Amino acid sequence: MQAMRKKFWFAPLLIVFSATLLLVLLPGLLGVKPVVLWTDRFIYLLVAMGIFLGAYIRHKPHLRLPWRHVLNNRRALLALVILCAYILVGLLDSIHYRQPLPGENANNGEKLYSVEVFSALDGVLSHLRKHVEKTYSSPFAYQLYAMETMVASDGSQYRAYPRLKYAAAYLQDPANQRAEDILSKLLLGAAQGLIIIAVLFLLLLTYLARRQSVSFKQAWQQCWQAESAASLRVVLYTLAVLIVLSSIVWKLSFFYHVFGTDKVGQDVLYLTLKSIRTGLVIGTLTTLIMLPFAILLGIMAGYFRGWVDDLIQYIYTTLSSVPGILLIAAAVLSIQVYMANHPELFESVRDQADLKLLALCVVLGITSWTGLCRLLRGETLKLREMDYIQAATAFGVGHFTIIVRHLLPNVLHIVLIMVVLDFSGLVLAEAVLSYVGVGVDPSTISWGNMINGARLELAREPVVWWSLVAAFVFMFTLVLAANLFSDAVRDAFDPRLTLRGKS
Amino acid sequence: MADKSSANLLSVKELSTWFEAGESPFRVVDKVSFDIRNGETFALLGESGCGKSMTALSLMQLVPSPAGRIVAGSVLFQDQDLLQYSEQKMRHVRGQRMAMIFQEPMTSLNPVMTIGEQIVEVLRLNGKQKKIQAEVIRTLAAVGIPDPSRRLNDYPHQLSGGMKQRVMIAIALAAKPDLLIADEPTTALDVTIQAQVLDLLKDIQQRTGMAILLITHDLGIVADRVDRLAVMYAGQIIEQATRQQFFSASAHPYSRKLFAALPGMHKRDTQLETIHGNVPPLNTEFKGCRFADRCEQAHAPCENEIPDWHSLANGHRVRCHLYINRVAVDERVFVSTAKPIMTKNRTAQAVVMQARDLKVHFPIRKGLFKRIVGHVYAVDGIDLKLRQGQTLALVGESGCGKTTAGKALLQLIRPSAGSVQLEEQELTSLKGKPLRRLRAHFQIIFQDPFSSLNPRMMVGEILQEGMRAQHIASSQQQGQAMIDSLLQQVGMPLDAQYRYPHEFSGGQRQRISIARALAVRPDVIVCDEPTSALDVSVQAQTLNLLKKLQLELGISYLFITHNISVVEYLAHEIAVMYLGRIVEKGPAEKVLLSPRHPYTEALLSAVPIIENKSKAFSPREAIRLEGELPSPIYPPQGCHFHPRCPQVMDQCRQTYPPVSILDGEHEVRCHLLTK
Repeated sequence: MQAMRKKFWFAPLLIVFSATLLLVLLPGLLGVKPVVLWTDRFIYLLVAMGIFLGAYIRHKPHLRLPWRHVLNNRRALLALVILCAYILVGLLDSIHYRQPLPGENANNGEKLYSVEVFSALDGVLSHLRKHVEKTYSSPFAYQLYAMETMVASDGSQYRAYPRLKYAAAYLQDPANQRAEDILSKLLLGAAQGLIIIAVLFLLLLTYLARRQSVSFKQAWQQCWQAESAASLRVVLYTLAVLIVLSSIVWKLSFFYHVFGTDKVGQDVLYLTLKSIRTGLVIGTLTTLIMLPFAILLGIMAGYFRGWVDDLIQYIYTTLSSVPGILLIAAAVLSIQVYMANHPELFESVRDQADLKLLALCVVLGITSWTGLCRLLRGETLKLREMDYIQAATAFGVGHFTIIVRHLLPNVLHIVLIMVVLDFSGLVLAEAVLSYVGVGVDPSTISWGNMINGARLELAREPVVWWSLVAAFVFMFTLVLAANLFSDAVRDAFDPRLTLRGKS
Repeated sequence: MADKSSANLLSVKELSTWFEAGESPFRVVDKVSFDIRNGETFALLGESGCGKSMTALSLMQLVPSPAGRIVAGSVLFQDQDLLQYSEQKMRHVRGQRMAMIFQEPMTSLNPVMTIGEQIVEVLRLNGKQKKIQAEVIRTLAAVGIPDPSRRLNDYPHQLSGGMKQRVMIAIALAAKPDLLIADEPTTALDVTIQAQVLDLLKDIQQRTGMAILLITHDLGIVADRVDRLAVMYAGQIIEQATRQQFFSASAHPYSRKLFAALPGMHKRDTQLETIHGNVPPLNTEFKGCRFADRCEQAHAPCENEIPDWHSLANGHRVRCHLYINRVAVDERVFVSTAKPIMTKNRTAQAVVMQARDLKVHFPIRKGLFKRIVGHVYAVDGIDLKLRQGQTLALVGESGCGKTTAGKALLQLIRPSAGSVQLEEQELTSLKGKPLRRLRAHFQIIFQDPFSSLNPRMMVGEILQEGMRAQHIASSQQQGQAMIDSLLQQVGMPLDAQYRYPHEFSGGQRQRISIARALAVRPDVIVCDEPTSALDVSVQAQTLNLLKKLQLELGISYLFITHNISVVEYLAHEIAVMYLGRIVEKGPAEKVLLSPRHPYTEALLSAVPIIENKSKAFSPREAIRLEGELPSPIYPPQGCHFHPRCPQVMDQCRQTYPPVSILDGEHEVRCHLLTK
């Protein structure tokens, strides 16, 4: 039992180590050059921290119990599956590389790599990336949205809607054939999705049967009937819907622009998927930057009182009385100017845009730690009067140990709740800031930039609505899932709402 | 009138209230039956969690739903079954014919309404619109609130605890109910205030002729002012008797144990009797007597047959198989498990720790620049000596500064002036590391067993904390061995170290706290009311443990408490504190048996006495103190006690009395003795 207690970090260490190994070795095998952007580093760090935190939670019963409540909540589980899908896309988009230039093995046998930085997601979605039309086209369109003057074979000019280069280009009579074509592709996609689900389910059943050493049939029955497998079924249903949907969209995306194209003809589906990473980075990295400030300063203010408390309170009241958007605008603009004046610091445009994203996270983090800090200060003020803190003082335990061993674990639930709650707010904040023009770099694909771009087109007749709707649907799903999940987390950690059994 | 007084006002039959939780419901109130007659005081006596409060809430139909519900029984109140009433009809019963006061006066009043408004709220429901003002003033005056016309517009925070409880009583009485349910009305109050409130209740009862249902865990309160009582255990009434019958010959083994577990002067040389084990969980279906597995008189039928009522005398009934064939049971059946213990001679011991002229003044800051505008004189110059292996009890009402004094002694609150010496080492001038290293010598045990253990740490880690900070265990194995022996010492199972504090009961947590303090092998332990949050039987276990450890390890205790009977049992020396200063100090027997300071006399006389088996009741002559403890911000001039002192003289208002030494060791600060 004791050996078990001590080594909770062993399994996560193994996972992190093997993941790192994979990331290092894989590019070599595929013959590409890995590129690690600044935000990537932080994301990897975050993932590693997440894995360790998960193991820590598993190891501590007082944290494990509320999380078990969360996982027994069907709505939260559904939200979690959707969140995981987003995170998967975001992570794929965070593995960057440069492709080798074909044929060129010039100067002293050294391989030359393209200047363009791609992500693993770009690799998967290369057809979407390459299917660039001339300009706007509506979803599932076979011709452009605007009329153009064209020259007929006899040399006469006429105005018409030109056919798209990639979408539905193979149809002879698109006006009549399109519906049938879409339906057949849709059914094909659904069928593929169902096959994937069936394979996955068989694998799961084999695993379950193997683990509990029961027959395949018993495992099947358990899976569908047992009360204890209720949450498993929720996961399975959600996954099934998700996989069928994405399989259909995947299939269709080869032949149509499912969400249409934007002003320069880029596929909107591609843009929305790429935006996921930006949203997640803003939502999570900001928290990562904010947490040390909030936790350290909040606990210090509450624990030490006196001038330390005065100073920290002074800092955060000052900070929170400056209008947030002004502060962010000023900081972002000055960073922009600095970057423009020092182009030599950046290897590529991608690098520069990435650092700007990071800078935005830092600025948002610096302006948003005050709320959590205030909460933690209040909680610490309450906790420091608890008898067990006094008892620790009576043992001659040092201040730092008291903070780490007694205060931090007792405020951790507040931190968890706030982090999950803040996430959705930050994703929305990015959209608002980019809309105002002080958000991410214009070259970075983000929901905010998409909405900003769509804004102008809302005034034209007929309206270009799809990029706005696409960005909205994806963002809405993410924020809704995050909110549902955070509700469940908050409820699980609220001692007034849960009747904890004597487990 | 005569026939009315003997009639039953309230008749409860087979009342059962269950709480649904998981598979089996918690039978919190299990077939409880009792009657209350017009104008009498009836007490429900029992330890925490036995279902007495829930019985009261069931009568009012205030059981927290949907978790709990009344599943069976009838409540006949003035010959009408309240359980058949609709919620709307019930509202006219609550507060009008049946009123309730709660334990905690601090939370029962709405902090944003004046007390006048809160009384008016009740009156208006009654339909009396005229002369409300006069009525409210009359009501407040009736509960003994001085200057009621001015107090009317006060907010609850402007009143002291005792005053708030008086206002609560005033609110409860505003509609002249026939039955007052008092749920632990004085538990949160000091002894002297408790006496005032109980007297007030009795006085009002005599004037209005209402009946009182008193819910309490305190045998002392019951001994003084109850006509009849019922003892509850695990959701069931197990004994019913008049006060006389109960105190002269309690019948149920559990009642007997409760008396035996009470500490007191005459038990000093023995261990206290304890009840082993715990109250059974209420969600079990009982096949036999629910006290059987804790009862030393248990025999065959106790295990598998639910005991029925056996009548002993007129109105004295008991649920116990011992009484199947007999009206009374031979006294020899009740064997005492208490063993005598050896106590050591007092004066021979060396002084371990002493405080001289210890002062703790908290500055009050106001305004923009936090100017100091005054001080709270929490501790104002006290001298204490702790001798090796002995217990010094620091006694006083809440707010008199005794906890602050204890913490100042341990340097948990830094004293403003004075000196604290551990053997020869001065502590007040030490800081940082040297002080931290010395902290192993003096430890503290807290009052509240729930806030004194970090809920996020396992018991093993909690015990290790002190050892690690003081570098006591040199190796992992040695540390482990020490944890094991500590747990054994305080009577906890060894696997407790892998569990978290929330898995333990209050008494067990207090044992863990004691083990934690022992881990660094201290010479001195400050015990800050360690038993006041515990039930009588658990208190006895804790006191036995403390006494045993003192004898084995020679630890000195500074025992801070307001409970005189605990002091009588445990203390070698006593210091009585009033408003930051010690008014009387000396050997336990002298202070307790011949107190010289009027405050000590009053304090001792306010404690209700329980003399089991003594048929002739001879209460001490009660000295009732007027008023309450003054504010330590503006202590009265001269003797601090003079505004409340029954023997006040002119001199007392001028100067603080000097120390008078009687019989060498008995020190008293009173002008009565200086002449």
